Amino acid sequence: MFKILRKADIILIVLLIVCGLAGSAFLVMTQADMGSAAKVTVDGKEYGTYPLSEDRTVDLGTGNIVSVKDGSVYMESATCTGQDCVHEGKISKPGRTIVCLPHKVLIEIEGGGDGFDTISK
Amino acid sequence: MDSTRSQNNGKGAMTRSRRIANIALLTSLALIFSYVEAILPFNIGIPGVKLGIANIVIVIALYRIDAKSALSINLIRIFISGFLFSGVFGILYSLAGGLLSLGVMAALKKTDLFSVIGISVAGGVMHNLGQLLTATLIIENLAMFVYFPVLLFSGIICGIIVGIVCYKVMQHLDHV
Repeated sequence: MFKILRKADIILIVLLIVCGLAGSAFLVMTQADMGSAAKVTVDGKEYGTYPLSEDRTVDLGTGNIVSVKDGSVYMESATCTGQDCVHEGKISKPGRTIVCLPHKVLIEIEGGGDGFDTISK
Repeated sequence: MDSTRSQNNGKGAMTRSRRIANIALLTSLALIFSYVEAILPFNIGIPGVKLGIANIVIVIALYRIDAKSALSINLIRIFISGFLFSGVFGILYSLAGGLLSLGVMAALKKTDLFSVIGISVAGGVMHNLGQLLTATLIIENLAMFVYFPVLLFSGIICGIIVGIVCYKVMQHLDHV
């Protein structure tokens, strides 16, 4: 009777697993920059949407200055006392937010993986 | 060893009518498996992930008869089960997956390096890959490929399960 598992089988399976892991890693890495735009909301109203691909600095007029640079967005400066939004740092992944409560400013990363999430229930 | 056995299987050359009867029998078996799979509540929410128990029949046909018969069985199964359960698009997906998977399995078997588990793992992965390629062509969106790792791993796992079943079944077929 022939053997149930041969050397070539193990090589094949390991190779396929490596392929799968590489694919997953690639997906995770690309998904990190999948966020396409930063949506800025001031006091519940949409202020503007800025693509992450273009560097720019936006003065929101509330004392907050938002910067888009190298595919991520961050609060450059704020006049509030807490400075929480500034300390939040750079964000780039879809769904991440920067909130400035005193000035009711919300920055959201949009786009990317919507509907193509690999995680399933 | 197993190739000499399958040659001796019909006491010399397998007669034409015996061949037809075998193919018919295995086709109906594969169809039943397709049906069982269609009603089985094995669904983890990702489209395309399934056990592939019909592949057991195809792999055994590939080992015990030949690639041509396995192809006939697979084609008949795909069309009939497509018309019965899944519709034209289902046939299209199954056809792409089935043909790619059988082609690779037959090629790998020819090399004589792999056991039945390796063959069925390759078959399972290729089946999923074929379906994914079809879906990509139909939807014209490469974003479908985010499914690739999931389908790859499910192909490996289901392929191992199918391979073990095939191995066990063929062990007992030896005594018949």
